Parts: sequence; C-alpha cells; structure tokens
Amino acid sequence: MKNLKLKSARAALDLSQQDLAEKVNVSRQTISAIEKGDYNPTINLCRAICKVLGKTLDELFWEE
Amino acid sequence: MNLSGILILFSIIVSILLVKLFQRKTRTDNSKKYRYDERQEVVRGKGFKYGFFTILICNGLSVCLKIAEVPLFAELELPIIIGSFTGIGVWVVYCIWNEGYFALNENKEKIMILFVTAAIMNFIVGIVAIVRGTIIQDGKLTYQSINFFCGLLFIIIFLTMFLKKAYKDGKDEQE
Repeated sequence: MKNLKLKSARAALDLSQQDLAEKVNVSRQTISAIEKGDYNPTINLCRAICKVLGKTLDELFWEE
Repeated sequence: MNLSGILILFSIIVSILLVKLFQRKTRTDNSKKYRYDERQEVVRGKGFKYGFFTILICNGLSVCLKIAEVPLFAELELPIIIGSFTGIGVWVVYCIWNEGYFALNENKEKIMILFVTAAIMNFIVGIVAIVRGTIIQDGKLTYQSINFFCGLLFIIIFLTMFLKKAYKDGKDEQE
C-alpha cells in the first residue's frame, strides 16, 4: 500500500526524495520504494524519517 | 606447480590488488568501506541466494553429466567456471535491476568504465587465443576460452546497467 502520508509530509517541507534520502543516509530509491509501498522500513529508519520530517511514527506509518 | 599455474596464481593476485586499488578510486568519500542502506542489504542478500543456487544447479548438472559420461563441450573445469560466472551474473544483474548493487558512496560512471574495459580486455585475450588456435583442442573448448565467457559476463552486466539507467530515466520523467 502506498504511503501517501510520508509523501505529503515530505512535500510539505519542500524536500525532494533525494534530499530526504541524504538526511536519513539511504538511497533515493529506498525512499521511493517506501512511498510506493514496495519496501517496509525497519523501525530505525522510520524513526530517522520521523525526526527529519518532525512527525511521530503514528502520523507517518500507522494505518487506520 | 608448473609455469602456467604460477602465472595464473600471479595474475589472480595482481587482479585482486588492482580491484582493491580501483575500489579506493571509485569511492566518493574517504570511508574505508562501501556503505549500503538496509533495503540494499536485503536486495544483495536475495541476489546472493539466487546466485548461489544458480552455481549449485549449473555445477551440479556439469558433474552429473560428467559422471553419466555424457560428452560435454569442454573438460569439466570449464563448465564449472562457466557455472560460477552464471551465478555471479545472476547476483549482479538482480542487484543492479533492484538498485542494490551500487553503494551510497560509489561512483557509478567509474564502475561502468571499469566493466567496459574489463570486457574489451577479455575479448582481446580471447581473440588472440582464437588466432593462435588454442581455444579448441580435440573438438572441445579449452580453458583459454574463459576470457571470452568473462568478457560476455561483463558485457551482460554493462548492458543491464545501461538498460536500468534508461528505464529509470524514463520512469523519473513520468513521475
């Protein structure tokens, strides 16, 4: 399932996939795969992404 | 150990040293290791599994055919080396296609240049072997044809890199 919350949170900060990838020390393709729902990140990567985007884990990765 | 054995061992050692030297040049930072992210590690692990089973199947098949005395296209060592090349090819192609081959701190263009150079050099050695007439003896391929198969492996890897780049560029434009 696509992670649209992550995509919109990133876009809200005007960050490209490459910018976010560099901040959390992964490749751009990994961020793209997470947004498309092709890859489930580990909790460590989720936390790193949340810190950069200023969101909580629930806000970005919890599905209702 | 005879002279050709010593030469092969020497060339393997020189190749390893050259690869190590080139690895330093292809890193984009001063770190001593290539860095991969967690998704890339997963892709590389899967690719390694597929490559390993490919080698197992190819080499197992070669040995079984040899035991069954089925005439092969070469002596046993060549099909085993080709089986290993096939396994390496499966691993590298899988990793490239799933974007797990190149490290975060690796210069892709330099690696592509290296692979093309390696392919050309191997093909040249293969052509020299053909001209000398040492590639086939008694109707069977000799180990001197290894360079041809090695060159073929590098060409396949380079083509995968090229196709992936073209496919990715097209996809990026769509996004």
